[in-house]
Amino acid sequence: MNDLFDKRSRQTRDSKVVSLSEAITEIRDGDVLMLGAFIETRRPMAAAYEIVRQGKRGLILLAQCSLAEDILVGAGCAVAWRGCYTGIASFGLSPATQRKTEQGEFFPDEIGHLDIIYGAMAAMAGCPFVATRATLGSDVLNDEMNRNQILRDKAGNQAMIPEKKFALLEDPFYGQGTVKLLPAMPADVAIIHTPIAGEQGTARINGSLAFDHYFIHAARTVIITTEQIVPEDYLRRDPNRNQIPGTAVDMVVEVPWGGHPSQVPGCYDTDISFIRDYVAAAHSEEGCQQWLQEWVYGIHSRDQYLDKIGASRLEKLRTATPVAYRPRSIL
Amino acid sequence: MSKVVSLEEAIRAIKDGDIILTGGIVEDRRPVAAAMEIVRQQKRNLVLIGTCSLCDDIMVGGGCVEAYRGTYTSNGAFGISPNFKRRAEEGTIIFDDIGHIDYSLGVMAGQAGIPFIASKTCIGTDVLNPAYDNLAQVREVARNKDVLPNKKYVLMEDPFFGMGTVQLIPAIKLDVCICHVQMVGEEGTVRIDGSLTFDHMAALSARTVIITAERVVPESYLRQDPNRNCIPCTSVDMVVEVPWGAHPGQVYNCYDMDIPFLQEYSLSCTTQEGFDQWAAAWIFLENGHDGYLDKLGASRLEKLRAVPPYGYVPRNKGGLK
Repeated sequence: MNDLFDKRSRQTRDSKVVSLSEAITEIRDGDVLMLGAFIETRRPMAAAYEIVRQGKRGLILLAQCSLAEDILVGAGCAVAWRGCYTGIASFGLSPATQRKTEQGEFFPDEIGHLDIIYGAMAAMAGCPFVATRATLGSDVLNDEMNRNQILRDKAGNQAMIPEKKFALLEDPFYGQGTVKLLPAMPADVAIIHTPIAGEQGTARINGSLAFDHYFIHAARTVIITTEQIVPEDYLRRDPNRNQIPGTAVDMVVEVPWGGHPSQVPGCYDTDISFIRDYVAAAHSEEGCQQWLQEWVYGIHSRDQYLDKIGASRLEKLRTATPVAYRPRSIL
Repeated sequence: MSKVVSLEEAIRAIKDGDIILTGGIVEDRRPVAAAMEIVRQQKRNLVLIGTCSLCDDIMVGGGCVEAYRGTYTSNGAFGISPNFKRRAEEGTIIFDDIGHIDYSLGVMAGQAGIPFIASKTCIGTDVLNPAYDNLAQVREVARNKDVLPNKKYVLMEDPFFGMGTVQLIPAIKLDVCICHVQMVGEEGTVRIDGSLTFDHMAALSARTVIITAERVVPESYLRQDPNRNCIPCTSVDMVVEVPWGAHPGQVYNCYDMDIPFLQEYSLSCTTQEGFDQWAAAWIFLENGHDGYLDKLGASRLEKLRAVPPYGYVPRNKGGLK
């Protein structure tokens, strides 16, 4: 039996609460990695910086190649990606991803927007594939752009990548005609950033869950980084408000402002000028390396990162009640 | 726009031969008042999907159900659903068994709008035995046959991960989904406490969605904590306020099971005459659900009220035994 959907063995610890560097040590070169949430919302940025600092190599990214992923691409940690979106919203295309793809150093394998949701959903449910009509007639099915074999060749554990990108079949049930069989999208490691989490891993998200509630069950190792670790008792008082069960979580790391410069609804808004500076810098290899030196390699602790940004700047990002973001009127 | 209607009006939207799923599970958060109204309106040839427990069994007893496709036909601790058992043994109800996970994966596929999903869960079981495949007969009963799949399942080799033979499970689709919940906004935004069971998925797989709720509240109240809401109002067609609408089952944070009532139901309904007498006493009442509540009596209901922070009635507090 394929162990695709089973937990990966790892060092046994007494508590799930670990330091960021301990958590990131569990990631192996060549792992299939999924970073939680979406574009520049609730991204595990501190975790991405730590991956860069630890010099991970050959990672295969899933779902999107946006703010957090682009930093991994720029730093040379990621070699390939399967997903459906390579932009940082209004800040433009992900600069390092664009540059390295054009130079042939990074291998994107494109699937549809719905494909990433269904792929994560199938992996969450332990199903090898689902059928869909989404992407029929599009270049997602074009053989010339099919890089599935490249992903398989580069993956540390080849079994994580399906033998084929897709298969076609006549729908035997509802007469929908030709449908695409879409393989599950399991991950070796998922890292999710949340506003709060309990010491046993129960986590609570404000706003969109993106695909996080699927990917925590689709990944063999799950790391939660969180703004604040709170007592499990507090979270259990309103279980319907929690989206991530502790049973799915392997490690919990407290990282205040761990999503900066992305936004964390209910905590802080996007640091617009910070992202703008990153995008401008990362268009060239030299600029990208300088940026990484200034904000990642040259920073030896999370406290140092926060102090470098400065308390007054961070305070201006804090969200306003009840809107959970920073309204223009008080910017 | 308010979607609030009376229970009678909501149930009138159900047509004979509809494929119907009722929310909750076993005796937890079941739309019992809605099922009783279906019996009162004498719907016929319904095809039940999912489980055949408390409220479903009442519709079977009432002669409303001709076929059932699902995975569980019992009332929890109160034994096998008595009306279903009797009709199944008589051969007067069509049933097609699927696996527990077939049901959840089928509803998940339905909500995602995909035609099927692959799984290994029922391989090697009688769910795949052609001798028990009654899907064709179920289809004959259904008014909208295109809502049911052509085949129960298909086997194929997994082309992706080398998992061997897998079962293709068709999506579960519905004409009507009825859920009973703790709280709903007047436009249909639903908030559930405790297990969602399959309600959040089934509501997206149905052509018509009816929500009965303990309380209808202002939408603006629910929108203050959107992460706490489970079904979007865009999926909901009708909203009905029905206090104690899941009695004699439980509704977490509202009330616990009425155990003597459930016992009496199980004992009464082993024969059709027994069910008919029970229905005369509890369903065919003047004033419908209000008549039902008055007959139960306020003091009896008060003993069932859930105790914070448990959400149920702890044994040491009594309740009804």
